[in-house]
Amino acid sequence: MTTAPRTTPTETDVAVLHLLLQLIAGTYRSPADALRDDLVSGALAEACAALAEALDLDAPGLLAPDWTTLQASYIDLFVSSGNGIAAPPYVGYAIDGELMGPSAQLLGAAFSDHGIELQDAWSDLPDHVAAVAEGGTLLAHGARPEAALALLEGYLAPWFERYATAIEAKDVSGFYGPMTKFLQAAIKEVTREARS
Amino acid sequence: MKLGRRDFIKLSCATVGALAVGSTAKAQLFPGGFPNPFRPPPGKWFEGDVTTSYSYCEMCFWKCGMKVSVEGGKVRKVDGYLENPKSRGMLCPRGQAAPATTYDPDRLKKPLIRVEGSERGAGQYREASWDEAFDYIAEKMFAIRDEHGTESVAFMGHGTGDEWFASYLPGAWGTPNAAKPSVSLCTAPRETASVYTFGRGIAGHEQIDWDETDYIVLIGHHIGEDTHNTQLQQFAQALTRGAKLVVVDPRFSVAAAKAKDWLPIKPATDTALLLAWINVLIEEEIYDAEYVEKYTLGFEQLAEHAAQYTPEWAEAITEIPADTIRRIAREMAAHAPRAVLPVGRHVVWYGHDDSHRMRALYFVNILLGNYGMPGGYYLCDAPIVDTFPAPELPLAPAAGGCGGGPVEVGDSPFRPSVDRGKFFGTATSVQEFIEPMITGEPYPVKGLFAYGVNIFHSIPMVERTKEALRHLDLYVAIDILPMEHVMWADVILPECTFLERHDDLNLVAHKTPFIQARFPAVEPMYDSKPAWWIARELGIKLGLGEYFPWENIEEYLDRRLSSIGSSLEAMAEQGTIVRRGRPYIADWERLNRNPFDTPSGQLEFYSERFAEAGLDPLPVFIDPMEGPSGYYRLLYGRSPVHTFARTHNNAVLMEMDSENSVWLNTREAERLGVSHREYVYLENQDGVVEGPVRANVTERIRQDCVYITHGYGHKAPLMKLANGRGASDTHLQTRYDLDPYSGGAGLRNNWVRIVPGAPDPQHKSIAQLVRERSQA
Ligand code: SF4
Repeated sequence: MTTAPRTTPTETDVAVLHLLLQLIAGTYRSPADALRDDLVSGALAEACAALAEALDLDAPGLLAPDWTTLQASYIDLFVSSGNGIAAPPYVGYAIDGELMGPSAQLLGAAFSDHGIELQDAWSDLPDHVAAVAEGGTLLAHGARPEAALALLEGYLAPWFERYATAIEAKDVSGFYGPMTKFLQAAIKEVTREARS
Repeated sequence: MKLGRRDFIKLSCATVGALAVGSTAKAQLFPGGFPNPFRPPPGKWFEGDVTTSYSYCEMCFWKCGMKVSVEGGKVRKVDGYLENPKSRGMLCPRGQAAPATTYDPDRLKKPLIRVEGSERGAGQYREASWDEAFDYIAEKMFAIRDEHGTESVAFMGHGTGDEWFASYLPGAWGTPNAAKPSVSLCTAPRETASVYTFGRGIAGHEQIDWDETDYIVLIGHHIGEDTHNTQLQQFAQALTRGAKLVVVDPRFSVAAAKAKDWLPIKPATDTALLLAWINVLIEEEIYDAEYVEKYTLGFEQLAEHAAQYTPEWAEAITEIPADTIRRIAREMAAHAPRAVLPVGRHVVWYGHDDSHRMRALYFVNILLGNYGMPGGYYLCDAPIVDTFPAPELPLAPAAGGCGGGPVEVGDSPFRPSVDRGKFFGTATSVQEFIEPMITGEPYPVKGLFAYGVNIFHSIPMVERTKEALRHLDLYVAIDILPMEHVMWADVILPECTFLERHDDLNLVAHKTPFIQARFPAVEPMYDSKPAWWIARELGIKLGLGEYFPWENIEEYLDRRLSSIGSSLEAMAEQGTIVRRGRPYIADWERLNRNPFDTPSGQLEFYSERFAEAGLDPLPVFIDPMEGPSGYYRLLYGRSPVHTFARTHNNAVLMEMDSENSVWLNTREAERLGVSHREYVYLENQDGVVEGPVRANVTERIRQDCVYITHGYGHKAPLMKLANGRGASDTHLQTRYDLDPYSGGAGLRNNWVRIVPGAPDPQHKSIAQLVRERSQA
């Protein structure tokens, strides 16, 4: 049984939470130029290192992934695969075993209550792990860190719990596996610290 | 926690910055935090016992083999499987979203009978038992039979269960008036043209040898928007392999975006382009002379006929430069026989012109020497499995399949179908049932069954169809959802979804022919039933029990499978049985067999049978029907995440694509003062108005046409997600032209004008509607 955070989060807590959610959003979005830029420039590695340092974790050993392989790996892991995808990228599905099911509906209602709506251009389901994390960054940023933490704990953590092992096992890019492992460890650490 | 000097690490804002979501709550404070639904945490569904069964997908009619996983009595996941040639391990989004249709709370739940005295279309119903519903239907059918004859009951069907409702039951009852929209409103011209050219149909799986081809010309083919899973996989693999792609389309389609050449042809002129390619291939002697000599009949007549269709002639009609026409023809020839012009699926465009266009397309392929050759069209037949032993049906087969093969009443005592004599082909044309319902000519149609056919979103002239329904003595709708036309029926019979039922075996003509089976993954919800059960029970009520001698579907399927040394139990273990094919001419020649079932045994350029019937024996270009000035030709196509008008209440798919938009060229939009994403109305040449629909202002379409995706614009309040979103192309189709060869209804003869200034309908988001629906 989980409990709500006991103390008001510090500025650093919020910054860590925000960075973690940013990294989740950036990792599981369909890979495009922005991710490539962050990989090439080293910004992503630097952000991971900062988060690792903040949480006393090991930073992920990211291989320098071949871009085409990374894109193909994303499709294979999250979109469509002849062997079955490793991880349907929907947080509600991880919880309910159902697309657009009760958890996705609760989540949508909660975002809506917090004034956060999907943009028209988003053509995937609303509880896609990247969209949820991105919504979390707005919560963390918008003076609702406890809501962002509940989101992380209640919706994102179960997705990692359900699929992290499968992603690590199936990834051939050298990116999604290590990132998933690292992000799951970071979620555990953030929620543990918040509850401690 | 600590975050040191790197507190303000800046990632690319495009990576993580507010792309998917936006905040409208700048300074609001929200008491209570974020709701967490897991206190206490629920059981983990994914750690429960999972059972898996085989099926094939029914979300479109590609019918991909599927494995269905069930946990806790609920379908949790569907997947393709590698051994199945139609899915090859994958499903498209529609397949993945299938459980959302099974668990759609708007589904029809019980048999319903229209309240006595209420108007058709008023939607007033009372619940009934199945027995009562069947009694009601049987009584009306007997009355129609006694007054007008069995032929006065018509059947329309679409989907796997249509074998029961558009073939078997009509055959047992004795009516030739059974038809599928998938013929005369979709494939009829390509089938008639194929049968009279190759001596073989195309049927449900286009026989393109994607894996071997090097050069692809798509003309009338929206692959990528019209999403057939393995076709798309193979197309993508061909491009990855380096195959070159040319796309002919008035619109810069998804496929055009992958092409080396996009030829933005003037709508309705494709036949002229194809004739010019025939001209170039022959005039420049770059066709496959050896192949033509060996396998074809009528080349001399074709050469003489095609001499008039020069690229310069075609340029004036198509607006494609003559040089480009020549260049593409030469490139095709250089890659032949591994150059192919794949046949499209929905080919009823202009009516009078459609079979000519399809024959011309086939002729280009033949001149490239690719029919029955690697990299072109392969040859295939469906596997043979015996039928269940039963008395011969009084009238069979009633409707052709997608292939639309000849249907002859022959010497039977039954009157021919109401459309007989209107066109050369013998498949029954679904739209031709409408007028006899109103006029009684050539004889009255007084009863109608609609199985899985959305008749207001497929048959043109919707108001005329409604008028026809008012004249009926009996209208029965068998469906899953309360579509608008369903709510006009006298009796509504709720079918269960494909995940809840067995169906007949699916025998697929394919490069590797195969048989696939469907098993129910879960019990039918509510009081819904499978088509085979409905047909059998009704058949028994109608006194036709002798034609349904099996006790249940398991017995029926097991007996059929025993004819190939298999069993239902064995199929439950493997799902699919794959056979070896004979895809190339050489495979047939080795067995001293001729694959071309034409009268001459050759591929026929010149058709004696057309000539005898007073039709053009060779393809010609006929000027298209024009529209009024200030109007645009209305083109239509598919959304990759929807099928026809069937999937628009599926929460997952609607979340991905919830309304259509009208593509309008940028310069036309400027002239009309229409801005991107503004809501407009569409008004057709007969004053019919659809919308509001968003304008998609784009350079990706010519100035003389507009385009919308099909299937939107439902007027069905009980379908809470689909209702009132976007515009319906079918409702704007108030005129069509009949193809004199195939009976296909050419639907692109309608024109619309843009009426700016429509109000924003303020649609709620699909997620919001889903929440409201589940709270209700
Ligand atoms: S293409 Fe998609 S919708 Fe059609 S049968 Fe296959 S998975 Fe189902």
